[in-house]
Amino acid sequence: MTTDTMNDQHLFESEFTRLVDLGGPLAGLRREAYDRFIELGWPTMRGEAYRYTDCRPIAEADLQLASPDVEVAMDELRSHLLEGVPTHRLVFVNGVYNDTLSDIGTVPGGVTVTRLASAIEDQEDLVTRHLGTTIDWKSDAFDALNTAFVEDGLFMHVPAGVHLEHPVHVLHVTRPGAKPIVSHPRALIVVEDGGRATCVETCCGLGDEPCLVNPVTEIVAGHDVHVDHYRIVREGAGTWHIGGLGLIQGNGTNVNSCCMALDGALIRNGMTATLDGTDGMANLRGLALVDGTRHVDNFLRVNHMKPDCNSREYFKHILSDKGSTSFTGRIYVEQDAQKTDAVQTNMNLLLSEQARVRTRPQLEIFADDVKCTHGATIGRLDEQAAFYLHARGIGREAARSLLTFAFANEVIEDIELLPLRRKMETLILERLPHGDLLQSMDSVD
Amino acid sequence: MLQITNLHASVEGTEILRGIDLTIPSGEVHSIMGPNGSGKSTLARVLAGEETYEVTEGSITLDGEDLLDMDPDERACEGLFMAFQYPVEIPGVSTKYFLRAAVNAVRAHRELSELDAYEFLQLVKEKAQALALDTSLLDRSVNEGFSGGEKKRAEIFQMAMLDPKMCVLDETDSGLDIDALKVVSDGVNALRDGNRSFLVITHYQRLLNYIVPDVVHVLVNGRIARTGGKELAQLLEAEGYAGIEAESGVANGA
Ligand SMILES: Nc1ncnc2c1ncn2[C@@H]1O[C@H](COP(=O)(O)OP(=O)(O)O)[C@@H](O)[C@H]1O
Ligand SMILES: [Mg+2]
Repeated sequence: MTTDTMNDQHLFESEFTRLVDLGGPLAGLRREAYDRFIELGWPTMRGEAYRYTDCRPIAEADLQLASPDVEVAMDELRSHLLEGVPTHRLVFVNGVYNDTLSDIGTVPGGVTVTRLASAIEDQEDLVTRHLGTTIDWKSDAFDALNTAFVEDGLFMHVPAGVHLEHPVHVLHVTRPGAKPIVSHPRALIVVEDGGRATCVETCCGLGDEPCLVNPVTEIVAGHDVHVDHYRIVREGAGTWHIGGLGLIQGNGTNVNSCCMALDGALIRNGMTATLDGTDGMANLRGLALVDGTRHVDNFLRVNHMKPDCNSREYFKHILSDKGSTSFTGRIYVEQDAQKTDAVQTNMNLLLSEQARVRTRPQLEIFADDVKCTHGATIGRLDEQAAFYLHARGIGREAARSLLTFAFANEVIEDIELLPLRRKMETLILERLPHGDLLQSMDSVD
Repeated sequence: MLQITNLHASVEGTEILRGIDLTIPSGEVHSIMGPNGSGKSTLARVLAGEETYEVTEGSITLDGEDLLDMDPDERACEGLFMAFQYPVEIPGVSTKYFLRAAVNAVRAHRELSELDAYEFLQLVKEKAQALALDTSLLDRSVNEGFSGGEKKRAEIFQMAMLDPKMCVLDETDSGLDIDALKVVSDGVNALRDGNRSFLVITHYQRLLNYIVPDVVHVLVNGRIARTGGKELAQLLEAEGYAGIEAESGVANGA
């Protein structure tokens, strides 16, 4: 470790001291996580977990927590809102809750959708019982750092048997400045037995200066629960986005989580799913559009702890220019977890010669009656298909974009929340040459 | 309508079309017959503009316009349609969506207004009915999981939708049973309007009982070895290609 990075950690210390001086129920957890972060240091490419994510620029940046007084107008967020569906909206700017831009609305009886900062005081029991239980912050420096600085974000609690009809939409807005800032938004989603909820997180940047966004979301789902979770990453061109998701689920519970990595300098999507009940399904999906010099790292771990569970990992990467991606899918099957059915898929579409792909499945299986399959593909556009479309009157670039879209669409076509699916379609098409020609897909259905 | 003059084309340095001259006047149906490997599909693909095939000599014009100067999409917009011998499956692209994009691209080029969703679906209904095509196929991805016959019918359906002036059909009969053959032929015949021209490529004479050609050309080893009326097709059916091959001096594929 260099002296520089040590200095950085000392810099965090003064900010940490301010936070920990606040006391409160999380002071102990923060202290422990902070100490852990100091022990771990910034991850290096020599270690296993960050082998393909270069954190040196982050370690070398003189990061500081953002000041709370940043102005953002509603108009700047328009393109990020979900249209045509009521939402419970929470907006955070540089990690700080913004009351004016938020619109939580009313939630059905018993449900809580609020700021984590409020919940730490009002729902101390729930927060302390669950916070930090779904992720391995003791071994991941960024999760440790987020936990050390846990202060605000989303808290939602759905009591047993309640279906929250409308999606919760959390916007993490980052407006970077001359000095590199860092934010550590946290979300804790607790859904009790038989509950149902949808949460959409949008991480959006309003500026291209360097900065670190380090969000961690935890989903604690009881028995017979259904949760749909989405994270859309549209950061500024200079943003390092190191995102973490932890989920733990009980018997008969179904959790879908989908990460759309669209914009940012570096996007890491770390997901840890723990199937801690029987007959569960963890469905993790992701799409990455990787152009310029962007690097996207999908780093997944699924823990099968109990019998008869299914897990699906379905990740597609589209690379152009000098983009690069890595995919690590680790499946761990406990001795007890018989009849596990785990499928891992990573498909890469290369649109340029210089793009780079790394993909590695990792299996650790201690049960004997399991089905674990993995498949990775790296391919280019089907030239015969492109010619077919082209020969029917569709322009060369548009034909290629249509095929590229088709590749991407398989990740999002099952999204039940229609306004979100349409939004994702638009976001993908916007990023493809002549994608505008291909709009109006919905009108044909 | 279509004029091909001294056309030479090669793939990866091997010459496949070795000097083809062919003129198809407006409203006529010409057929190209020939043994496997004689270059029929190559000719079709060169007409459509596939870049794997390099045109080394000669010219192709469509209504006097230089076709070789146009990209494949421009050729389609100018009214050339090629029904593929092996239509490619395109997972993830809905047939309806693709077809609407294609129809509107062609219409825009012809300075016609864009079809809205309703008008488009009306047109789909009308054309699909004529071809006894199950419209639920159109909700599927392009050609994906279609049976051989469905693929061929879908090609003719697309042809009807795009309203071309020059239709090239590459072995549209292959893989069709007699009923499907009739449906497809009826579909094609319905499009014969005295102006539209057809180039019907086939290995067997059978199709030409249903789509009766004005002129039959026999392609052997990249050249047109003989041209005649529809009775030439019957002759070939009876005698096979061996005679013409021998006569043209080159055993095909040698
Ligand atoms: N893309 C290609 N690459 C290499 N050889 C080709 C290609 N297309 C056609 N050929 C060759 O050209 C010749 C003519 O093929 P083709 O035009 O498909 O014949 P036909 O349709 O009459 O059966 C064959 O010898 C075939 O192998
Ligand atoms: Mg052929």
